[in-house]
Amino acid sequence: MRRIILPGALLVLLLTSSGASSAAYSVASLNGTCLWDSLFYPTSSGIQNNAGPAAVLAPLSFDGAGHLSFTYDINLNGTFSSTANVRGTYTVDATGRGTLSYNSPATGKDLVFDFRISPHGHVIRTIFETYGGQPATPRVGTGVCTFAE
Amino acid sequence: MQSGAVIAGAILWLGKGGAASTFSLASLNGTCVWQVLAITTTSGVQANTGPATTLSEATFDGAGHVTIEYDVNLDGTFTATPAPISGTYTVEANGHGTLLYINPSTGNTVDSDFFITPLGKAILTQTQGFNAQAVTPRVSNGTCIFSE
Repeated sequence: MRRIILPGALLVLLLTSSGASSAAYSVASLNGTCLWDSLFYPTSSGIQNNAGPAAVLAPLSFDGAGHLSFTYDINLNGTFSSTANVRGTYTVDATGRGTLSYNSPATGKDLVFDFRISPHGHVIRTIFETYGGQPATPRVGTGVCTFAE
Repeated sequence: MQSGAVIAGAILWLGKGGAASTFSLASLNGTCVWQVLAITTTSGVQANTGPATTLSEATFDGAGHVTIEYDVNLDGTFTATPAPISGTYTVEANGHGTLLYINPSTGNTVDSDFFITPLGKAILTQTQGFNAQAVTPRVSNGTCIFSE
């Protein structure tokens, strides 16, 4: 399974070692499975404020071409459940910043996460960006998806 | 640890190069340091009871049994476990598992969901069940690290 994301990161290292400053990440830099661990704190604004915390564990599989699939386990304000066969898309810009998007089977809402690939490409770090097109997300979330710990 | 034990399964998993994995109970054999942050929920019978953090040493025997020594700060009050706690765990072929123990001090049954990380150096956890209640009093995420 895992081809990890290292190709892009190695390229960055090569560029760095040759004195260049620009990076060369792309969607192809994410190709493999990482284990995503994210904790969400309830916000005090928006239509779902004080909705309680949530935690997610999910192995995310990236195909190197902008698509991802995963199964996730979630504890949503005290209630645990598992959801399989979720599909989404992702983007990566040349600096290693990207977005991860999927439609929640549970709510029908589109979720978007902002992420950055770590300097050595071993993890991506995520924060919640938008939820169902609402002006405020119901929670703020901080997560790490680990390819190689 | 014998932290090599948990890594063995992962290396075999990676070495196959395919989608199938080879994790089992034997993949967890050794001691990891487990740190958890738990945030109170706003629903259920124990809603709004405050946050908690735990710091534990969990020792897996490779056969479905685990021993846990843990310190906890429960909504501001720190206590250290007087004696090791015994529990059980399961592991699926894909590295997903569960960890269950009963705290002898409180009588609470704590059920955690986990995944073994890609290289098998840690497990990532969250609260799955508490005393078989419909709603857990807190949601949590934790990491138990075998090697770093």
